[in-house]
Parts: sequence; C-alpha cells; structure tokens
Amino acid sequence: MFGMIRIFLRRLFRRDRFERELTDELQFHLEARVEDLVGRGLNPDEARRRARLEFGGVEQYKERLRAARPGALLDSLAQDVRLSVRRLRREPTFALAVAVTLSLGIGASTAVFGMVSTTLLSRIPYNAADRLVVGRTTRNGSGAGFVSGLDYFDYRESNRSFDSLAAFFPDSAPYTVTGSGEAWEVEVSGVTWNLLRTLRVDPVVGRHFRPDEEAQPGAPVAIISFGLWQRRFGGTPDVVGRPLVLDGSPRTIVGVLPRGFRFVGASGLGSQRGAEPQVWFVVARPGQARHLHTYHLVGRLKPGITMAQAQRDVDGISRALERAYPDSNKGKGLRLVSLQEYLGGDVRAGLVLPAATTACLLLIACANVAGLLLARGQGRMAEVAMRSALGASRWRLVRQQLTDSVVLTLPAGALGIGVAYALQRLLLHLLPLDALGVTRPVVDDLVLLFALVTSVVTGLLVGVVPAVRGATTRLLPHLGASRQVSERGRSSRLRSGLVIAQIAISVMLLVGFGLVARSLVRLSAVDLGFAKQRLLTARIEIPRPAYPESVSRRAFYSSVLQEVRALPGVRSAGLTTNVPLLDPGNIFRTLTPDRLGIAGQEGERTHLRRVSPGYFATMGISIVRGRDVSERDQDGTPAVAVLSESLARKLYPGQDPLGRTVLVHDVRSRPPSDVPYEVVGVIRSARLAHPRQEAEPAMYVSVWRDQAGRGFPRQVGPLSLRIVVRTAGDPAAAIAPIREIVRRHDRNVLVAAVQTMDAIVDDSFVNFRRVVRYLGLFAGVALLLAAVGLYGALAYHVSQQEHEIGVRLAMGATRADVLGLVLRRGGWLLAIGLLLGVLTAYPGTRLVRSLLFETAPLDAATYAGAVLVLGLVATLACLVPAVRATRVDPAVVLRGE
Amino acid sequence: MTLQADLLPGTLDLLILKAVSLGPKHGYGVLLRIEQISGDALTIEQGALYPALFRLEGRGLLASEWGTSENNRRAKFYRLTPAGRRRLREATGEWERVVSAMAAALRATAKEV
Repeated sequence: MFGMIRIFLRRLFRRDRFERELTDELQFHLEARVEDLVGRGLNPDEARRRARLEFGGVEQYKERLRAARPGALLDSLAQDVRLSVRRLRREPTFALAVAVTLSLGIGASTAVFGMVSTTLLSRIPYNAADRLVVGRTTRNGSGAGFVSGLDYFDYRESNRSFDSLAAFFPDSAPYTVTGSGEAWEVEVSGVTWNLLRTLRVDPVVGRHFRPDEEAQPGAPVAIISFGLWQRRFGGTPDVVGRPLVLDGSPRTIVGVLPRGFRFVGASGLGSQRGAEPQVWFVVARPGQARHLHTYHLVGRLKPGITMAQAQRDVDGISRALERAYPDSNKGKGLRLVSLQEYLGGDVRAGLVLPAATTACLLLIACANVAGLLLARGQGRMAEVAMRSALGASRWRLVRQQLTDSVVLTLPAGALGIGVAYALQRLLLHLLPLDALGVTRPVVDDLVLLFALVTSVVTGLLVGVVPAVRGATTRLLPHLGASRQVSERGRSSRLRSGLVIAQIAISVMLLVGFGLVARSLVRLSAVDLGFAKQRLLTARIEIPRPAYPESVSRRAFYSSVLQEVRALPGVRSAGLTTNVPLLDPGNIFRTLTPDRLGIAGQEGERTHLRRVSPGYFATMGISIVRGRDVSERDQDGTPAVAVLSESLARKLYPGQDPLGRTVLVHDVRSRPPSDVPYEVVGVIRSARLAHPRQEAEPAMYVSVWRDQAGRGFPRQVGPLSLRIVVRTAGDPAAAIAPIREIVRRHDRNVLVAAVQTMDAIVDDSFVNFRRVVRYLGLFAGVALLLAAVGLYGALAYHVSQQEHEIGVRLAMGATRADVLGLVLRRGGWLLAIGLLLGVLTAYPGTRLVRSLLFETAPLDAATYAGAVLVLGLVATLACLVPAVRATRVDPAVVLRGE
Repeated sequence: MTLQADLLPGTLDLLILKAVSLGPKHGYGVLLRIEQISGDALTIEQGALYPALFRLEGRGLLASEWGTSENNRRAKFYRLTPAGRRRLREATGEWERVVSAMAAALRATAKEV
C-alpha cells in the first residue's frame, strides 16, 4: 500500500523526466531509422517520410507506452490530479467556495462522529464486559424498574446462569464525614459484597468485601476510591484499618480501588447517576418488604451461557416467586439486558438529534458543491467535447470529473478536521455530553479516518452526478460552439432541484429551532407557583450520634432558624425536606376514608413533604384556605396536613376539605396501614418535579411533629433539612452569615448545596437551552449554506444568460425588466423550496416533539417565521446576481460575438 | 517470407531478451539485431517494440541507462538484469520443449497412432 503511494507521489511530481526521456527515445529511434534508410539509398526527405509512416502516430504511441509502464493506472490518476489542480488554480474563488462549504459539512459530521464514537464505540471500562448483564423488574412483561432486595437474594441464590449476580443502589444522597476537622461530604454507593468482584475490579490496597460482611446488620467496612485515598489519606498504604465516620457511624477502610476505575462516567455501569462514588460499603441483607424496589442488578454470565438461557433461568425463578408471594410478586418478572445494550440505549437517544441535524448539514453542503460542480461542468462542455474528440475514453472523462471533485474534497476534509475540533468544543458547551463521558474534543485515529472516508465518499458522490451527466451528453454540438453554451434541459433542472432541496432542509431546521426556542420562552415564563427571586436554599445535615433524640434535633434546627430569621437582610425563612425542582421526593398514595377498602381505589399519587411554619410564606406560595402548619402542631397534638389545591380537588371535588380527613397509605409498616391527617389548610399548587410538569398533588405536614412508630416519615426528627431564605437584597450576601450561625452551633454540622432558587430553575432548563442553541447554530449554518447555494445558482444563471440579457437590453428592455427576469427565476426556486420545506418540517418535528412545551408541532407563527427569515435571506442572495445582470453592457456582450 | 515476431504469445519478449543478452542495445538496435540473428526471417512491428521493452523493464528483466550511440547520439541502452538472464534461460528451455513436442506431433503418421 505504501509502495503504491510512493510510486503515485513520484509520478505526481517527477513526471516531466519520464515524458522527456520518452520523447528523446522515440526521437532517437526515428532518426536512427532515417539514417538507416538513407544508408540504403533513399533521399533524406523520402527517408523521413517513410520512417514516420512506418512508425505511425507518435502521440498515440506515447499513450500506449505510458500504459505499458508499471503503475500505469496510478500514472494516469496522477495526470488527472495534476489537471484538476491546474484548473482549480485558475478558479480560486470556486475552489474556496467548495472548500469552505464542504469543510463545514465534513467538519460537522466528523465532530458528531467523534462524540458518538467515544460514547457508543468506547469500551465499557470493565474486564470482559460483554459477559455483563443488567436486570430490571418488569410488570406483566413490560416496564424496566429497580429490583426488590428480597427478590434479588432469591435470584442470586437460585440461578444457575451467573458466575456472580450483584447489586447496587442506584440512588443515594451524599454522606457527611466527620471526625477529622470540619465536616465534609462524600458520594457513596451501597453495594452487595460481590459487586466489585462481578465487575472484576480488584483493590490495589487491602481486600475485597467478604460474604459474611453482608449479614444483617452489615459490617462497618468501606472501600474507598483511589482519588479519595490520595486526597484525604495522602496515598499511604496504612490507610487500611483507618476509621471513616460516615453520617456519624464509624466504618473501617478495608481497601482502595485502582486509579481510573469509573462507575458513573465514561459509560460506567451507574451512568444514570450524578457523581462518581468515593466510598463503597456493603449493604445489609434486607429484612422484609418484598415490595420495596431499590436494587439495581448486574451479573456476570457463566462461560457458555447465552442471554436467552439466562433469561429462561430467571423466568423460572420469577414464576416460583409469584407462586410463593402472590401479594407482592403477581405479574412481576426480571428482564436481562446486556450491559452494552443497556448503556448504549441511553446514549443513542441523546445523540439522535445531533446526528440527524449533522446529516442534514452534510446533505446541504453536498448539494451546494454538486451544484457548483454541475455549473462548472456546463462551462467546460466545450473542453470535454474536445478531449473526447482527441481520443479520451468516456470512462477516462468520468474519472477526470470524479478526480476533480475528490481533489476538492480532500483538502476540504483536512480543513474539516479543524472545523470538527472547533465544533466539538462548541458542542461540549451546547450538549450534555459530559454526562455521556465526553469531556474534551475527540480527534483520534478513528475520527481522522472517518474524515478521510467522508471526504472521499462525498467527493465521489458529488462528482458522480456531473460526471455521468457529462459522459452521457451528446458532445458533438458543443464542439463548434463558442464558450457561451447556455444551460438548459436536464442539467438546469437538476441544479434547480438541488437548490430547492437546500431551501427545504433549511426550512426544516429553522422550524425545529423555532418550535424549541418558542417552547423555551414559554417555559421560562411559566408560573411555577412560587416566587424564585431572591430566594436562597441550603442543606443542613446533623450527625446522628450527636443528636440521638428527635427533641435535640428539632431544638437545633429551630434555634438555627430563629437566628437566620433575625439576620439583617433576611425577610423570612423556613425549613423543608424537599425544595421544589431540587428534591423529587417520594410519592405516596392518599385517599379519603369513604374510599378506603373499595377495590380499585388505590388513592391519589401524592408528594409528601415536611415543612416548618413560615415555609409557604418564604416560598411565596399563597395559602388559599385555612392556615399554615404552626408551631403548636407538635407531638401529642392531632396530625394535621396542608393540601395543594390540586390534591384537594382530587380528594374532595366540589367540597370544602377543611376539617376533613386524609389517609396516607403507608406500605412500610407491617401490615400496611393508613395514617389519618386532618386538613387544616389549602395552598396554591406549585411545580415540584420540573417546570415542564404540571403542579403535582402535594401534601405538607409539620416538620416539628414525629410520626413515631410509623413508616412515614421515615426519619424520627430530621437529620437533614433544607433551609429556604427570602432576602431583601442579593441572596448571596446571606450565605456567609448562615454558615457562621451553623458553625457557632456545631462545627460537625454540614452546610451543603447552597444555591439560589434562580439558579435551580435555570439548571432545570440547562439541557433544554443547550438543544435550542445547538439547533440554532445548525439552522443558522444551514441557512447560510442555502443562501450561498441559491446565490451560486443564480449567479451562474446570469453569467450564462449574459448574451441573452445583452440582446434584450439592446432591443429595448429596461433594467427593471432584467431585474424582474432574474428575480422571477430565483423566486420560483424559493417558492417551491419553501413549500416543500414546510410540508416536510411537520414530520421532521417528531425529533423535537418531546421537548415542546405549550407549543403545537404545527405552530403557525413558527412556520411563518421560518418562511419569512429564509425568504428574506434568500431574496438578498437573489438580489446580488440580479443587480449584476442589470449592469450587463449590451455593447460589450454583442461585440464578443 | 518474413514472419511477424509476435506470432505466438511470448515470442517477442523471448526474442528481445535474447537480442539484449548479446550486449546492451538501444531500441532500434534491438530491432535490427533480431532481424539479423533470425537471418531476416523475423521482423518486428515497430509499434510493438517499445511497449514490450517498457514492460520487460517494468518487470525487472531489463535495465536501462542513457549512453552514446555508434553515431554519437544520446540513446537509451537496455541490458539484461540477472533476473532477465534467468528468465531467458527458462524461456529458451520451454521454447525448445514446445518446438520439439510440436515437431513430434506434426511428424506423426497414421501407423504410430
């Protein structure tokens, strides 16, 4: 292969010598023959004539000799390349237009390919990852949820298909570490003893967890990450055996994981979670409650066992469980998915949009270049006819055309790599790629190869149309013609088609962008149900051992709250377990006493939150009826609740809920029970999960009251609460004083996740905003490309019609007539393109439909806007060549005849 | 009667190798020498000569260099490479076997069948 390339390059540049020697050798031959003939008595003139006659046409002969050389094919390829380059040097503007257009297209697709390849094609960072499978719970054959802990142990102990079947907890809040200076926070992951073994990750220091450490309650041991070992323990080997106090309970470090082990990022197993865990501990075997689904299963198949066999195996276990525990396991199953597929599934969804828009962009770029090449091919018809007459074969002419376009696209591809790098940097800002494990621009061998292949394939593709057209055109008429062979017929239609396609694709992208942008505007203005301005939140966590009683916890929080309320610049403050948009919280079922026990009455899905008095006022959530929870709602008083309007409407439609009872279905208690609350107030509904989602039904109870002995709320006296603070001025100014207040109370208490509500709301839009910017960028580039395409087509048209325009002007047509003539042509292309674009845009919106918010996929204003913007830009693109047409000087044109 | 030297496939190449094996020759010289050593019984079409020379050179059987001809002109001289010499030996052997086989076949009479 490299030998070929070397010969090719030598032929490309050292051709002159071969040609010179060829001429010399044949010249010598002829002269020797002439001398010979003269020696035999012919006169010199006669001898020369005879020699030449015997020899035949020298030029054709040379062609045969060139073909007889080794690597002759390369040679003629080199010749084509040289010819192409020579032509391009004569038309630098054309070359530049093509290079820029294509490098944008190739760059964009290469950029996206780089991202896709690192996420989709990257190796999962575990040994023999192709044997790893993930298990999700199904209900009546569908769905994919977490797995019940008790079910997991049954699957683990009864299966015959897995070398090991492990589990981890997909969701867990960070823990507070105390005992070494100021409190700090770590991300943790609870796992079964065999999880790391299943992944085949061995500790670099210390040991694995042991099966006996999984007993109930679990052994207080922990394995830490390499990073934590370096940062907090100075990387010393005697870290094994050192204590680590997590949320007040001491654990012993038994091992350190290797550097670079990834669980969350870069296609790690837990990639749906937020942060990379730094501490791992064994979770205790669950005691009861088969209907609690909190485990995430991962297993390693035994050698030789297929996915299908393993699935049959677990199906059998599922059926046995159904029979043994009909209450909890009716219709429940376990679906196995290969880890590869499981991880790829998430990633693919995130990349469909970039991939689709990039494909559109590359298409437009190709269309543009094909158009330019077609136009040029038309101008060169006379040359092609000449070469054909001189003996060039059709195939050779086609090849020349293809070479022409590849010679253009290869440098464009090189340029495209630069564009790709820049675009990737941009994409990293625009798309949530860090979540997919891409943190920096990717330009590796594979990406370079992709750019090369794209360039060549694009070159061949855009070259094929003009080449085939050139080869099948009857060339004879062009031989006698002057350079002004006017464009008509098929070629013209093809070029018009390309321009129309570009306009249509641009309309699609503009419509997509418009719909999403409009949704974003609507979403930003949506009524959240609370006032987000000048509102600060922070999480305050207290260590359990220092506050064993709920009374002491409450006293702590109450005291902090009083002092924060007294701070200058603080209007009001409150406490809550769940801040809207930040803490999703758990969903419970609530119902009214008259619906209790009736089949099919499962109750209303309800967000349950604990709040302090003053929380609603601080959040700006107005109380519609009744009252707020109060300081008097403490232990020993009747349990009271405040309902959101939406919940009140569902439970007591058309009735006054004040004084009525609401039952909270508690699945954690044994047996499940229904806990009664008296409704004392109704508040305006607020959006809790995401600004996009309607305000969900919610029920609020006092944070000062314990529900001792009951499953809900789980904590008896809170260990972690969020404080919300409404300030008069800049909320950031309140951060330091609040921290100071907490530190004065207890330096082992953690103040974390300090955020303004503005920032929280903003964060919930961040991916949305990225998509908008991304689509905007691509729609803008597409618009630009379409404008260039239209401009090119018309400019070429005008240059072809120069003669006709000159004649018209000479015959008395006005400049306005000429302007109209050109504009009409552009107008037609534009009109058809816009129409097609609008028609195809609607099905195209499928890709962004999930993002739309209070915006119909057929939003008239968006479509009108897209058409208007494109129409304006396109008109500008038409005007330039049209005005140039009016400047044609008939005298000059006609003299040229 | 004179015969075309490329009557049978490979014969032209063989003749060229033979001609060049007798001493480096330029293209026209090869032409003359073939006519000479075949006793003017074989002629070579001028058009076929140079493609054959280029092909043989390309296959590494011939090497070429520029030198001065008998009448003091710059000319390209071909000579046999070791590979060319080997090839000439093999081809000569093959040729002789073909010729004797052909001769035997053509001499055959009804009695011998």
